[in-house]
Amino acid sequence: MAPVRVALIGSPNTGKTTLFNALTGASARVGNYAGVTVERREGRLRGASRPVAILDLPGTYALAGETPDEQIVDRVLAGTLPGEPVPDALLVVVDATTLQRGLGLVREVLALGRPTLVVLTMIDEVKARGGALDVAALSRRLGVPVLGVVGHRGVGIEELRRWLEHPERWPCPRTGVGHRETPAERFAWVDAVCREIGAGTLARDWRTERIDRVLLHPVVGLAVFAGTMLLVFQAIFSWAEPARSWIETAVAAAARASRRGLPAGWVADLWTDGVLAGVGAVLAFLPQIVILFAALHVLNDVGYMARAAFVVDRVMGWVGLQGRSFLPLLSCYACAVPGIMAARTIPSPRERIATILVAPFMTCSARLPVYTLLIATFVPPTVLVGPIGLQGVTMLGLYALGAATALVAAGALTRTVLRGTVSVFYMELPPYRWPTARVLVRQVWRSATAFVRRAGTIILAVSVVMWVLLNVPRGASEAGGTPEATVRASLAGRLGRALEPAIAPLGFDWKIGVGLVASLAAREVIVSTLAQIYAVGDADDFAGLSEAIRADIRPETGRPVFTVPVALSLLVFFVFALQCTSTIVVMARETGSWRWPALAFSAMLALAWSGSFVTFRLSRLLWQ
Amino acid sequence: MVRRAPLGDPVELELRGYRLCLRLAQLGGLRVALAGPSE
Repeated sequence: MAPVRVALIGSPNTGKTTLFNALTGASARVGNYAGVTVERREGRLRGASRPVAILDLPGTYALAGETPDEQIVDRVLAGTLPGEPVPDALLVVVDATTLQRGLGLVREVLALGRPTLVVLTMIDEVKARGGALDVAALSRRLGVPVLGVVGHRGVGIEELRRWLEHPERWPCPRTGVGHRETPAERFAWVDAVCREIGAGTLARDWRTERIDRVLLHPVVGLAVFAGTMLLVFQAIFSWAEPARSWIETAVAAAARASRRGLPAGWVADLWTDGVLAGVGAVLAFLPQIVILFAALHVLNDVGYMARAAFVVDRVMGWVGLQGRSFLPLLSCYACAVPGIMAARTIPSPRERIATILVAPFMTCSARLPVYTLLIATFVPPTVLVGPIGLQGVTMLGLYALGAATALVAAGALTRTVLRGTVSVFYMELPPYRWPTARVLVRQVWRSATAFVRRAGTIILAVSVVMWVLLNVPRGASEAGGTPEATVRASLAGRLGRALEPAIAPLGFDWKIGVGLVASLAAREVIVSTLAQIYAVGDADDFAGLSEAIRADIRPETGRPVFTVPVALSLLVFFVFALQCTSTIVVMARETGSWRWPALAFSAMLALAWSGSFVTFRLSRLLWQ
Repeated sequence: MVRRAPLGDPVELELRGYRLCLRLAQLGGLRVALAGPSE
């Protein structure tokens, strides 16, 4: 039996998604609309006697809007989006505290003449602010059923569920105005309706105003903003560490158990070094991702995300971006994949693509193992001032170089390939509201599982491919004897040697070349690849690996392979290069084209090569 | 207008019961019309 289809329509910050979650539970399927990067969410009505599909349309302030999200709403309602049948009925969600604004959208939806039902959310806030709303009078005036709900507390949900089971009984309004009505005429109608039903002005939201006086204060507001971002940043790095260590230990234990349980041979090697290592590499990032998404959702649900964008918009505007670009870029400090996905909140395609393209310059956590290894090996632990040492300053310098490059690149992009009309920046500052734990957990769960599905499968697949490249032909192991000989004779070794002429000007030999090829899957893979080449048993054994790479000698010159100029050159290469298959794939998915990731990969590779070349040549003047 | 952002731009406006942010440069192109009788 084909489900009856009901579309949820409403402006941002009306509680539409909370209502959707309350109605559908965990049944929602999240994807993209065909050919565009606008998120599509559909779920089945929970506990219904017949199948009812509920489509959560993107937030829109008006039909025939300008942003991609708003255009999708228009096209779904008109039935012009391929593979998207016209909804059987329309459920309009209106924030009861901003009725004067929300009824404008209701008027437009009523003009479509489809079975319609209006839901008023936040009715508890109306009462709390001394307001009164005659829902029955509004229903009579609109000619369609109107229900009041409090989504996160479940108030009114059961009655709404009963209505949703029979959308064919919803009336089809006939307003006779169509799309020709001007906004002025529409709002005159809204004001008349509000007067007729006695919906007076609510008392001012003093809580929001008092908080905003602090959080948007010219001095205190900036300090709170910096403190909040520092807290998020610190949480991503520090709070995730115990869980991350636990996952790494568990994966290592699973690998040891597999080694004991499986007969020695390629199956055991592929399972432990390919599959388990690949899964472990992804799972180890999960705590950071969960903390990042939890922080982002809390900040968004409380209402601070919009304030953060408001505070930082001017700085982002200097490089052609919006305030909304800031948090996606900040998210990239954990991983570019969720950062790029978070750029969906930017309505303007121009600023969104610019944000996505520069996101990989931000120092993701996958760079940390590489930075840590090279800095610990080649930068002396000299104390500069108090607790601040040369190693820490070097690390900070790499982070600063990445962030500065991202901003400069954004400025360059918005003045060249993305040059065009600057989009109108508008953003609503919603009232502050307490987040609901149940909703928060569900949001974080969905985001985390989406990350594991999207990034995990790709990293896993490429890790297995890299294992094959590093271990085929198998006969080389027995013939050559040493692990280095095995890798040298492998397909990856041959690739590394073929690359050597191109990377020799940067100070790199074929072994680093193999590491670079491997790191195309994920940056941190270079550490485990070098550990494999230098026959260090465990990639986490930094001391052993550090000693091994310091002791490696070029047979043709008798000089060390890794020197300070080589290490600096490699660090700069990692700051600039786009070595992350997951990022490239997600970039293609989010921009709807392989053109943008191809441009980003090529430009960043050229910048990485040039930056490494200059760094190697200049640093050789100092250290040789 | 309710306030300016801490760095001077954008600005926060109150409109029909909600708060909206716009950049100063965009305010110049804004056309304001009274939609109904003033209260």
